[in-house]
Amino acid sequence: MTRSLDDTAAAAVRDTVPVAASIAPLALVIGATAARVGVPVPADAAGAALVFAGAAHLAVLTTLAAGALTALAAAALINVRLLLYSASIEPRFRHQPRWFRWLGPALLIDQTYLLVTARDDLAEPARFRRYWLCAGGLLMGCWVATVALGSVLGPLLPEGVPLDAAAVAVLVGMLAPRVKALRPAAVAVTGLLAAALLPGGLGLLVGIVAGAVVGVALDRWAS
Amino acid sequence: MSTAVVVLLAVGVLSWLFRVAAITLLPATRLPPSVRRLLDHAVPAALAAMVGAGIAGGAALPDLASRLPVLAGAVVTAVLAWRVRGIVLPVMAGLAAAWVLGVL
Repeated sequence: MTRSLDDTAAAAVRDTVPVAASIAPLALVIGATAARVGVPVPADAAGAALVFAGAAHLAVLTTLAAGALTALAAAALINVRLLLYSASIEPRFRHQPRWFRWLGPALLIDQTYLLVTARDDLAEPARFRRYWLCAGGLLMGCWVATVALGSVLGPLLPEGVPLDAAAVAVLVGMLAPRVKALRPAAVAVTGLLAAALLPGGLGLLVGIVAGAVVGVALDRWAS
Repeated sequence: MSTAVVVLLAVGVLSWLFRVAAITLLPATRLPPSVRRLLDHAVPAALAAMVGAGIAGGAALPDLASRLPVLAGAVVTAVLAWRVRGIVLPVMAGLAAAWVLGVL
């Protein structure tokens, strides 16, 4: 048992290292953006661990000028997908100890969800727990360290570095793979145009709601 | 404590509730299909709205000339992100395009 759990931990590390490298640019941009809006490094690092979701974290930093409630609503709407992930992954937590059922989900993000759902050797509760804690813990450690590094390096960047363009580019990089079909493309175009044409926080909220409503309307029309 | 830190704390608590809700509190599999579809669409809608707000720079009917570098960076990133796997190359190319246009 001990040997096999060690093998599981090693597999988790092997799987996680390239994933951690792939999200490092987003973490650096978040850290640099936080420094630019005046969030102290320890506070942003703590926020990175607590939120542990790049798009939502970036949403808070980039929409705060439109108001705290707008920033909170935007981040909440982005992270609402975690409800679906937790529903999908619930069977893996069903026979786990109580502490793990309450604390383990803190490591649930797109990447950890995709990592465990791609493996078919985690049916045993102890094995799943070992893999989840190793993969999620390593990913969170790398994430927080890289956000903090971005916070430290951010103030050293020249004024001309277009951090707002970097933030938009990161968001586009996350959005583009999701909009290869007509329906999500219509959702995205609606949300983008509404947010761009309406003022500040109102545009953001109207864009999110309008995009989601168009998506549901297209679902009904297609069925 | 700054507003940004308070909001980050609130988002952290809310995110943990989302994460734990369907595992420990309320099975989300019991949600009606229409609500689940709305949640599905909320993610691309939210990302796209943030892109739109970012391109506009927080103002209505923005001065397009001043936002052209951001727009160009977004377009370059989108085109590459559709064609290659991973986020690093598209973002770096988009950022480079925005930087070059900003300098010109």
